[in-house]
Amino acid sequence: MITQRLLASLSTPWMPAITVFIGVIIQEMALPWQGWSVMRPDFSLIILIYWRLYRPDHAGPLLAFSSGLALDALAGTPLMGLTAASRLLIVMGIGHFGNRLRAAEFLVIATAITLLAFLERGSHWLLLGSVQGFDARLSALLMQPVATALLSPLVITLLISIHKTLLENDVGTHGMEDMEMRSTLQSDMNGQGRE
Amino acid sequence: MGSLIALLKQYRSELTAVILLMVAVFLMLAVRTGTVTMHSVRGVIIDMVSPIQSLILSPRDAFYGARSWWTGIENLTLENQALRLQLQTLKAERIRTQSLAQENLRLRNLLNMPPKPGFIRLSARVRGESSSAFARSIILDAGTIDGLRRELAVVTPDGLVGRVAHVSQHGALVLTLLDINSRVPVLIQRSRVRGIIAGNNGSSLQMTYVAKGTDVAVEDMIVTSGTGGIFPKGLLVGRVAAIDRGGIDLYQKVTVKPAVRFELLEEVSLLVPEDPERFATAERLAIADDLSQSGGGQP
Repeated sequence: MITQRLLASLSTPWMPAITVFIGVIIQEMALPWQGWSVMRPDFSLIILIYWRLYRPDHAGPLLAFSSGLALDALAGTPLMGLTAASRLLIVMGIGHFGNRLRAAEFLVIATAITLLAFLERGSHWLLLGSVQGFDARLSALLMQPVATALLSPLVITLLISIHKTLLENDVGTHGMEDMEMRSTLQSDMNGQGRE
Repeated sequence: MGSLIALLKQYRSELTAVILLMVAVFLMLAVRTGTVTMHSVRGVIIDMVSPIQSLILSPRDAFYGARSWWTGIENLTLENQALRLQLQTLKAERIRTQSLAQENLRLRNLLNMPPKPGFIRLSARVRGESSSAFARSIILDAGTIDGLRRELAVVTPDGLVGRVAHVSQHGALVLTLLDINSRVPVLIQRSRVRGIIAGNNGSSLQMTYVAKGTDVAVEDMIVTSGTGGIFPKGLLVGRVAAIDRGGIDLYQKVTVKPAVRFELLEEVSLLVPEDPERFATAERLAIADDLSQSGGGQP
């Protein structure tokens, strides 16, 4: 029991990083389906955005940079560091505008994820285009953000479950405090409504 | 001093982000992907990821194995009958092939040419595939420990896949023909016209440097020319799908449909030259052979 608790307490701060890297590994896996080649969701982006929104204390620039660099190495990106840079910018952006987004409805968050996925791919296309020409798999370029958006509810539900089971007691500066605040606010509003 | 430390602590996250952003920009600008350091960096990352991917894919492999075993049993009787019939035909074919091989050897001796160099065939499973729209590479589960090294040709029974670009102890990154940075010297099997096959990150290939007026037709088979020192001669690359002779260019635009279906790759073979030096000699002879057949003048 003590060992389990010790292991849990040790792994908890690493959980966001572990999930982000699992996302990287899964999205770079080869599956013999034609659809997977074109409509491959960007799991690591969804996971990174989620943790940056709800546990920014465990999902900082270092995680964004290292996961981006791993993606660059595994995907054979011609410009090493390109995804690392774009992930850093995304994380920094969420750091500034995350407070508004954190309190938003899920649909808004999903739209933001889709928009960020499109922006990331678009910026890569422009940057790489200037280096090696604008030839790219357009189907993948357009469909990957769509697949990311479609699968984001599923991934986020899974992350909420991990968050609640493993990180609930480990309340950071944001995240669960906000969630509790929101639920208190919601119950207060419901109470007023009934009165 | 105290206030500076307090300021640094306050903006620690922003500061880290800026420093890392500078590192990323430095990597993009200064580091070339082909350097030794980058090979080792990629190698370390591939080594870390490859076993985990294998673990995740193990249920799928087990399922495929069980399915193919079951299908195999079902088809065994039918296949057996068909094979018996085929065997009768092949016996006659074998005798004919043997006599042709002997004749070939005699003619080679006559021309004082060394026989085509032998290759050791290594097999590997495809574990990873690039999710990027700007690169077409795959990751194999075999590395230096299994005898792999850089610049080996990667093939399937359908044809050429690409070449090993980075290799680590337990994994390798293969640059497929479809990648925009891939260039393979080829020739048209029928007319012996030479050219270079280039990828464009899409699903088709472009055969470049094919001069206007040269003999190219749709459905022509494209094979490796054996030049360049990586790919042995005669590996199937694809078939000509379209030819654009218009425009003011000196060259025709030849679109080639690859022989391999890259999105469905599961296992590949790697061709390791038994004797690299002998391979280089054979390569030089292949160039001379093709130049004499095509009448020269092609790249």
